[in-house]
Amino acid sequence: MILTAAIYILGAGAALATLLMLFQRNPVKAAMLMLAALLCTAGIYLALSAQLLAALQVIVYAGAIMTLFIVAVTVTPQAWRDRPAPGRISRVLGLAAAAVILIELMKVSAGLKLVALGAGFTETGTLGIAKQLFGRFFFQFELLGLVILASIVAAAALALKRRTNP
Amino acid sequence: MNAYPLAAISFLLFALAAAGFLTCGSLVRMLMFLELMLNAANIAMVALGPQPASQAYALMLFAVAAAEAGVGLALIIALASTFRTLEAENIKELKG
Amino acid sequence: MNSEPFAYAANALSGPLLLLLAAFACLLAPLFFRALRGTQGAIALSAVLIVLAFLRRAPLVEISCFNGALLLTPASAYLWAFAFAVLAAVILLSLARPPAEEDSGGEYYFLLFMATLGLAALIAAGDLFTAFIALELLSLPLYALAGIRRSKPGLEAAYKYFMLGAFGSALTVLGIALLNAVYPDLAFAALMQAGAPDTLALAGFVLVIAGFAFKTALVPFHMWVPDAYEGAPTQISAFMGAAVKAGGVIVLWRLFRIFEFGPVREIFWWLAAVTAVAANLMALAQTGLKRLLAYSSIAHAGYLTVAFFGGQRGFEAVLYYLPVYAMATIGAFAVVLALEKGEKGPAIEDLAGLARTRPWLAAAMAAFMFSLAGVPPLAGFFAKFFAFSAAVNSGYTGLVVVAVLMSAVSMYYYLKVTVAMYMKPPAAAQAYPAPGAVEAVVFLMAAGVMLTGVFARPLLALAAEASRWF
Repeated sequence: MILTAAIYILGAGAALATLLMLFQRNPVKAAMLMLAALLCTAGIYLALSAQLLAALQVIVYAGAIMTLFIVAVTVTPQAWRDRPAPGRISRVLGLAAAAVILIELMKVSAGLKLVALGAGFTETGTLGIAKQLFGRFFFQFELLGLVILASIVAAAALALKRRTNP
Repeated sequence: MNAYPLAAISFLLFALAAAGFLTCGSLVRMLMFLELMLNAANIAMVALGPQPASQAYALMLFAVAAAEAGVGLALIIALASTFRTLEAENIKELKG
Repeated sequence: MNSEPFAYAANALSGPLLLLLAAFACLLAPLFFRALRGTQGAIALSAVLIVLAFLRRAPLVEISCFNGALLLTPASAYLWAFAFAVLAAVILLSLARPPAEEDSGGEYYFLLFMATLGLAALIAAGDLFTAFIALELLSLPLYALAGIRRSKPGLEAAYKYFMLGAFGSALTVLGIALLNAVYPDLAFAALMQAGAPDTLALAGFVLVIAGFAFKTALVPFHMWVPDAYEGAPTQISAFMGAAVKAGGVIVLWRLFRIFEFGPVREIFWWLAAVTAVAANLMALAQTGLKRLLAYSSIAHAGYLTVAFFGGQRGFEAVLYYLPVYAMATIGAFAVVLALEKGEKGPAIEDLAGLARTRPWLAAAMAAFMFSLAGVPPLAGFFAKFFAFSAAVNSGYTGLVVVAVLMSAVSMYYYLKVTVAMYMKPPAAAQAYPAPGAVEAVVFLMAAGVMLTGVFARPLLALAAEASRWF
């Protein structure tokens, strides 16, 4: 019961934070609202008995990625002089597209009303996840290492100051 | 409780983030909304799928989100120093 | 137990592993050994050539590695050979004209290798999640490569590519989440056996297809392509046109094959038709050569989707089509590279009088244009012929009529390039540099376009053998 209530409250919180972000022009305030949405998501994971994911959500998303955003906002003063784009038609089109996505997804997932969730708070073994990662998903997990490495080198190639005279 | 409210929460978050992505003109905020879209998809992944495989998927998607954020923010820093603006409207070097 | 498949798997996997080692060598060796500065390109090229030299015919079985995450088949061997050959051509072009300043050479080749490894994993991926991770490995380096010069056009191309590519990725992730809710196993083979999907699974498939359509550049999802091709370094545009498209097409085919009929087929029908019509009409108005080639690549993605409807024979046509199209595209971009002065590439008028000033280059460019347009006896004609006839045999005549009509429209803009080269006088006398590696790539590709057209049989036989293993 309390878990159901928590899921509803946290979900509403995340949605509210995202909604407020839509109207927030200040990038740092928008980042704080994003942080709120991400922390609400961590709470949802906890209510779903995914304790490891909740911890990682706080560390990776709310910690590492948010720090990156704050750093990027502070080193790019251009982001502060953020003016709304004059184009109206594209905004309406964007909102319409998002609304269509939402309505269609809600319609097709009606069948999920029959799927019961396991009630109560259980302990999802971290061992089980580790066995998946190093067993069934071994190749994907190793490939992911390459993805992260490639993204580090890509970021360095784009943003690092180059020595003009080696 | 059934699975529908969780799916609804995830889809609502996804649609709100997509709306933000499609309507806002600032690159930093577009990237924030992108991360929120991935986050929303992750909720659906964990809530609806079989355990513990779904949690393993979600864990790997965290890493993908971090990699995308890294490349995107590096790109934004490079753009800011070259174009002196971060509004998508003002970055129009190429035709179209 | 027969040890031949095992030996083959070890042999086949050692190719990508060697490329991985070479990538690290390119990145790290110049940092630690002063004498090795500036040799990254040579290291990269020799590694790829070694891998190409040790390619072996695959045994006619399906070898499943890593719990089915990677499936080695004759088809994957064929496409790996294709991917590595594209990489070799792009490295050769980058050696002749360094795309970025000397200091960033190592990162450039490292990212190029990573993208190729991603493509290789994407081609051989046995399940949807592996395909997604491989797609990320293919795309993330390319976002950076598009902007590696850090000039205005390059960075604009990179950010447009990144934003839309990442949006496509987000759609794919949501789609995978929905499919994960329905199916216990996301392997393509398991999805095929799972039977007719319910509405939730259908929505998941549609989202995944939309995500991959972004990468393949089918029409409602093509907005990034012209800008990305125009602003990126020309070598990278060639890689995007030839390699990235191939990866997207392969995954779309795997998804297409799950459905015998039903709404997903209709979605593909509309994607193919709209892509063929819109891309060719938009290409008519282009004045820049790189933008023209970008729209041409979108149109060809449409024709490849038409070929899907031919079933097994259609896929055979796709496997023949991909290298033929890649040769013409890489060749055309190599000509652009030979002529370009600014970063955005020459305009079509800049080609005026090329037949008089550089007749061989003009002849090669004409061959590429006619091959892309589908004029016999060049390879492009046979590729289109096989693709369309396969679809007609399966009863999709209406779609093929649309594609053939639009293919006729495309003659106009391909001819425009040729007319500019042959009918118009040169603007002014200019000094041209002596022919080098770029011209070598141009003539290799021109020879390929002509030979695989006139002697289509060997390549077609390989494609036919490979297409049975998918």
